[in-house]
Amino acid sequence: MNMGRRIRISPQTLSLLEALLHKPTAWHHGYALSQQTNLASGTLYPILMRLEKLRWLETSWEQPGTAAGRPPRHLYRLTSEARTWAREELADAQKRKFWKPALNNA
Amino acid sequence: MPTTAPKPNQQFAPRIARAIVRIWPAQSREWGQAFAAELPAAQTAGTTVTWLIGGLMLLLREWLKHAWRSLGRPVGSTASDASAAFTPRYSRTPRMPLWLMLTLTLCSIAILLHPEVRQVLRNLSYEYSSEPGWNPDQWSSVKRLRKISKSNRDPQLLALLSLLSKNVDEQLALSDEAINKDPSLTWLDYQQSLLPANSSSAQTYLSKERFARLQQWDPNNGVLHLLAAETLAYPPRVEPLDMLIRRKSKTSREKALIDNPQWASAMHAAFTAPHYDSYVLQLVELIRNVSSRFSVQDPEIGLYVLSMRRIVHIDLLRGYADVLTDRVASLEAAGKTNEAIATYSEMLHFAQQISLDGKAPFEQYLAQQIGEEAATRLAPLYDSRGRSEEASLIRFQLEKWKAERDPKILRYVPLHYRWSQWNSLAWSGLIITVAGFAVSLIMPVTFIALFIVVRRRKTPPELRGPADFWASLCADSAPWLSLASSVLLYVTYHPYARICSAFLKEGDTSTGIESFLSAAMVPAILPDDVGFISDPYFHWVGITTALGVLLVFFLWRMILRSKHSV
Repeated sequence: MNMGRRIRISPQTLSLLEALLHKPTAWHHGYALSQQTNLASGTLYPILMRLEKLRWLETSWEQPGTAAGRPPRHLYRLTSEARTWAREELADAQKRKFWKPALNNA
Repeated sequence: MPTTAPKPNQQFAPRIARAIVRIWPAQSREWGQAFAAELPAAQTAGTTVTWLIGGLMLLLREWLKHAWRSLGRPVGSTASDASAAFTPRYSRTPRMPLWLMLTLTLCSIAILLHPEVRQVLRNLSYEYSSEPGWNPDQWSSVKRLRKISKSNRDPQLLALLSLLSKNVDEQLALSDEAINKDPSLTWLDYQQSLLPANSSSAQTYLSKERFARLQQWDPNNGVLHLLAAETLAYPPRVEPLDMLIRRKSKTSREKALIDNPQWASAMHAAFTAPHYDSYVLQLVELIRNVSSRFSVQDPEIGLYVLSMRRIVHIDLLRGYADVLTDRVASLEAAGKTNEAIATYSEMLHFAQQISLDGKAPFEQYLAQQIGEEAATRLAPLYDSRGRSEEASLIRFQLEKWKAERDPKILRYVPLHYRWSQWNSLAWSGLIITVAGFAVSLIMPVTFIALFIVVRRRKTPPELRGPADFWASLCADSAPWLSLASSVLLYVTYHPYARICSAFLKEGDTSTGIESFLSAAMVPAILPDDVGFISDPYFHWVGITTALGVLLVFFLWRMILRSKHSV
């Protein structure tokens, strides 16, 4: 885990962190995150994969049969440590005017 | 309950998504499934297509990552191996067995040691060495002949060395010694009648004594009379060579030359001489003799000597033929038919002599041109005098010339390099140049990589560094590349090498001089479109660009390492 050191984060990653912090303890799925952040699947998934590799993201599969007629979805949420770190990063990026929040309750 | 037919995007999109998941690399397939599971959430055809395109981009990215990482895995381990997941970064070992690497390298070395390949590599090194120009003193074959000549003052060897020397004093001293020992080599004086051969700004004709020696040795040769006329026409050799060509307005100097009885007499002697010999065959025999007796089979020597050989001035011959044509026109107008016949006969005789003894394509071309011109006018004149037998003989000769006329006779002359044959030679030259450079670069890499791989084959993976990683990559690829380059070099040059070696054999009559010259110059020529690669400016630009790209690459890596980015 690299929580202790400052790292450079792209505006797209900041948007995704903002969306994941929207309901921090809830599980999110890819299509909804794509809609919230306006990121195409080709951009969204590589960021999710990198966050998961850094162990900042928890992943899980929907229970089979949750929704009839479609396959179980992959779900994502930030780990508790990552949430604190993500809030700091968002605040810092906003202070540096590097990034502007898109959602009201980030 | 009414059922609605599924929309095309609902019908085909899941199939495409399933196909994407199926071909997704196994170690990250979960992410492919995650992407595919979201597809039903896309409501419209547009969003479905956008989602699928994103999935294809992801798939491509994952495959590239997978392919790159597979390069770094040890042989025999798969991506899913637990051991592979935790293998140290530089632990890569060569995938090719050591015995195969060594076998391939030995095969490359065997090909590179072949005399033809050594020869072409030597020629390339002469061509691209830092020494500007064509300098036989730098060639190992010439150095060897020079060394032999210190203990063996063989006249043939001295004669060849005199033709290979770039120092005028040395040339003359060597040829004098050779001629004194063997007077049959007196023709050397003709080959060295305008020195230095490669510098038109400071050339001088041979001395009166040498010229007298040459004329005494071969008094009936028309070429020597042409040489005498040439020294009168171009004393310091600064006048444009085409000054005598017909249809160009004659300058006062040209008029003076035409009226000069000495020049007219020399040209008349040349046109009526019993034979015409520019000593090309003697030159060829000399090259063959020395090559065979002293075991120096270097086509570059033959190429240099034959390319630097003394040639007659085509414009001098053409100019005098024009003077004669003008003279005949005025004789015919004055009704002096017998004199006109005599003058045309002079032209015809000379054309027949060149046609018989001339060795260069341009000589044959000129012989046909002058001969056809004279024969066409001479035959009706004979008819008018009732000499029908002579007229029919001339018509027979004329038809023979027309039948033998080769429209491509000048195809070997470099000015016509755009012709197809020249282009095929040039493309062979390009392949040889590229393969030669590839071999020169790849062979050292192969040796270094093999050395590192053999020396550190027992080093544990955790102790391996970047040098081991790159050495293992090179050990896998460089032996194949060096073998491919060596084979390409051999296969491309072999037909030309055969022509050269056949030509250099004593007694060979099957290989023409022009074929030899074309074959021998193949390593030195390039197609017009890529000729810039032999330009030093291009080398500078190429090296600077390569170093610039390397610098940017390393800076980029440094920045990436200093900052983690997500």
